[in-house]
Amino acid sequence: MNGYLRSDGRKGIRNVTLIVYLVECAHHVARQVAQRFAPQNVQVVGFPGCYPNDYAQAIMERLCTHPNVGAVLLVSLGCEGFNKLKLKDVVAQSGRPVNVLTIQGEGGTRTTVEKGVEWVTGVQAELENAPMVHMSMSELVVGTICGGSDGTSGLTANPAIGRGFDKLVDQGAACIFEETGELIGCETHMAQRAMTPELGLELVNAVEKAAHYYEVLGYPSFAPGNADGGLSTIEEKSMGAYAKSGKSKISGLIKPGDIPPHGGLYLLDVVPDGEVRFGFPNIVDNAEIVELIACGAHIILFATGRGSVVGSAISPVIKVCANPLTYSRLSEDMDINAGRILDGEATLDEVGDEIFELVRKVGHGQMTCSEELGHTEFILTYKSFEPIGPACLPRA
Amino acid sequence: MSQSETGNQSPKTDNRLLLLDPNDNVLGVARSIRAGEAFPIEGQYVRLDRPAGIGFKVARIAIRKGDSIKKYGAVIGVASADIGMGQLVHVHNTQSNYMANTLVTGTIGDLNS
Repeated sequence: MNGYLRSDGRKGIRNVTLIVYLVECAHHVARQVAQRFAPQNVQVVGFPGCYPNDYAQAIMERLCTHPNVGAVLLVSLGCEGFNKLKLKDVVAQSGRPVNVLTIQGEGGTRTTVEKGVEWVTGVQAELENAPMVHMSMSELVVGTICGGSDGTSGLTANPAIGRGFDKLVDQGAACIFEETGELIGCETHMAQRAMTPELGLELVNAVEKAAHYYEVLGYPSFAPGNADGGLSTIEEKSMGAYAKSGKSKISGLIKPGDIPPHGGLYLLDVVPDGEVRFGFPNIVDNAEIVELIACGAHIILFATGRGSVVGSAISPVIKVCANPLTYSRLSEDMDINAGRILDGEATLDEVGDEIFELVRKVGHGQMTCSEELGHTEFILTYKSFEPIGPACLPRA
Repeated sequence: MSQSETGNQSPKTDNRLLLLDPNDNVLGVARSIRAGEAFPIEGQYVRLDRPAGIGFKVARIAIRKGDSIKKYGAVIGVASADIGMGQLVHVHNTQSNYMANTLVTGTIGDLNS
């Protein structure tokens, strides 16, 4: 594998130019700039809110300095609360080209779009000649998520991803699983896999926090489609989702924006700390994907039974389809057909190997289905977190 | 998934059903089974009173109201009604030990049948 070497020592498998709107009011201008460069690697991300949020600021700083990102254009309306100068400084310190356009100062929509296009055109020429260096599997960070789950997810795609994760961890990669609200019922088993008893306690606490959070909200992380697909309870969904983590020891518990300090398996705690404030923790799968990417994930393994079609800005999404009937309907969106396991045409180990190989190829530059189809979904909302405790990263 | 991996053993169980753990009292459905169709579970023939689509579950043994439902060797809920051997185990006769699925509207698979 070859990667783009960044000043912090991390390497990227893509070289994306990000156009970042810092409030919904600047979204249209950002989109207009990016559209001039389609289908090149110019992608739009942003934060919709007018009021500042420490979490959103931190996540955006992580995303703009993600190893897959080569340059950043910030688009501001002018009166929003986002600290654009701090964000600009963080990006500039990383050595990436960065520019801020403020619509109210530039003179309106058309002028700002033209200035943005001009700047990105110059940057694109620079990025095209960016040198690549050798990158090993141990420098890779891979995240996993399941969405649109049904009763097949826990039989095929999730355990196959678990097999792939085991191989990646063996090769020294950092692998991240998440969604503590969908690990309810698995906490005791998970604690036994922790590197230290203290970390085990942190893992249990994280799931209990999630259970409490959902209880206050009044419903679990369980959609009508889950039941239509054969899942009966949140515990059953959890057991299936948990299989994605494989069998490796758990090296640490991290929160959105924390970068794994070394290879190994990590749980990402995505449920906010403190009282229930900003509503549902993860309003949709892409919110979790964004948090995995903020933790440095180069590639996302997405298990789906009902059939999600999403991709993501910044990092490629590999879709592993659990259900053979879904695969036959949505094959253009699916990278791997894990449903073959139910038809007796493949084993979990074989599909696990296939996932591992595809991770390697996508690392080499092969496009995933969602990349080919132009999916670059992105969502970032309000949240609040406390920093992780000392027991969360035993070897750090 | 091979027979040895799923733990299916003689006496004969329909090959559309998967036993995920020897302690389970439900079987996963790998390929759809129609309502009224006769099929074997560990040598004993049963009929479903409603269809079981891919990813659904049927009772491996008779399950009484209040019994734990076990899949993957783990408790995934509790029976809210008596469930006959071979019958569909789903939201109409199963409840969470954690949180009720208040959003649920579906009961029988549509796309998976």
